[in-house]
Amino acid sequence: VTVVRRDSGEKIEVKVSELPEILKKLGEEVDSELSKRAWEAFRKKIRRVNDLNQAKDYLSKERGIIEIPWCGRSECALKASEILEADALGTPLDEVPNVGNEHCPICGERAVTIMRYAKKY
Amino acid sequence: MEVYVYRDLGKPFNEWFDWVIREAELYDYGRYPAKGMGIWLPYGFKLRKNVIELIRKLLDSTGHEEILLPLLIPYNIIIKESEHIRGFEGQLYWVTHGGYEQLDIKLALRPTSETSLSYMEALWIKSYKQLPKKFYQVGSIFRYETKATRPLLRVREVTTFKEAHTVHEDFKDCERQVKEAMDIYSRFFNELGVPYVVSKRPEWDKFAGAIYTIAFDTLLPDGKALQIGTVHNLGQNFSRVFEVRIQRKDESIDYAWQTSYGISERIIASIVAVHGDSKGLVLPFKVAPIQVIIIPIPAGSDEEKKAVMEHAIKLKNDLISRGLRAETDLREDVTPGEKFYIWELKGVPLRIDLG
Repeated sequence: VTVVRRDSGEKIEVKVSELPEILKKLGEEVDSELSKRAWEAFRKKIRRVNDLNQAKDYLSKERGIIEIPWCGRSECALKASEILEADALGTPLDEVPNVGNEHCPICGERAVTIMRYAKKY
Repeated sequence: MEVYVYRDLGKPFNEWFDWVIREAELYDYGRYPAKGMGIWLPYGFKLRKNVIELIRKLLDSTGHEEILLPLLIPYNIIIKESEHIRGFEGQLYWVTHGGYEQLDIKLALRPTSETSLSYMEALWIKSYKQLPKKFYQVGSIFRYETKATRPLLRVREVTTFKEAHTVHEDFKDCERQVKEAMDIYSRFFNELGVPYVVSKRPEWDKFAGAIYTIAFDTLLPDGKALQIGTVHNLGQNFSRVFEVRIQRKDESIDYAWQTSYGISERIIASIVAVHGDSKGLVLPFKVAPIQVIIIPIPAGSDEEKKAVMEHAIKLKNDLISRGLRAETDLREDVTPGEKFYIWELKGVPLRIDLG
């Protein structure tokens, strides 16, 4: 018989006696393929930007999540949020972002982390 | 032209989303005469059930215990934690009457259950020996959303709110629990193939009543971010006002430390949105209501056609007995081509063409 995958449209010829095992294996493959594809697309939409105009451009045209160096002061993030017409999602937790020589584009002070912005549901 | 984050949907995401949940018969939205409330249809209900089972397994296997709290929270209880009520008061539904009588104390439809549970925890928990305690429930919550409502994405009755609430001896154990919760949610979203970024919400956007909030955000195909899970370190904010006191190991008495964390049907919306394509749903095998659809392709004499149908039924039963969620479409008034279209729209991960 012919087995057709919904995710890729791929057709596979399978002996009936082998169906249960092969279907389970194909099911796992579908799930890992869906996950891989989604993560790849998602990562491309997270952009590190230092310039507010460029950030605004991304957010209005392609949207996604923008990461901007941040000094840590609430008023700067609120101001950026207003300029970008986007919400501040927050800061990363585990990985300390490498912001060594970067500056907060609002106040010009040395950045301590990044703030993420996106148009939100 | 819309730029899609994931796959080409053939139409703007908003339109596609409404189309797919309707045509795939997941969820009937916009026709029930109360705004922001939809109906889970049989196919959608099965998907929802499989998703809930997945999170239940993860929670049960990490020492969480399922409970069910009342839907109604008395006025004097819900207003107790001042930051909490400030954050939620604009979104509460109130029950003010019972029959013809006005109630002495009006009752709120729960927007979340920190207050009602903390009230009870003060009665249940006395000693560090009972800790950590991890509760969860799955049920409806109500929030009077004033922004434009959207099916599954922004509703007034959130029908699938999984909220966990934990109690600890000290701040350190709270911090450990926050990490455990993040780990559970990461595993859950990974199993569903839904990508996310984890952020510490800024001070002005944390949960009302929390010390801090950690949030999981995904992106929908239109590039807008969707919050799909949150984890809150509540510190002693609720335990103080509800007087959840515990005796610590060194025999001193202290207020308990708490966390809470939640997810909702937004994760189901994300499965739909992240994996779908122009033909409709593409459901992960793990949670698909039907994992394998068998389409008989009848040809030749009536005798031969009958044999194909019988073969399809036998194969379906074989696959079910081997632990697969299999189904066959035997309708004679629908062509195989039409069946392909329908089952692709419904996102069944694997199809068997049986000649």
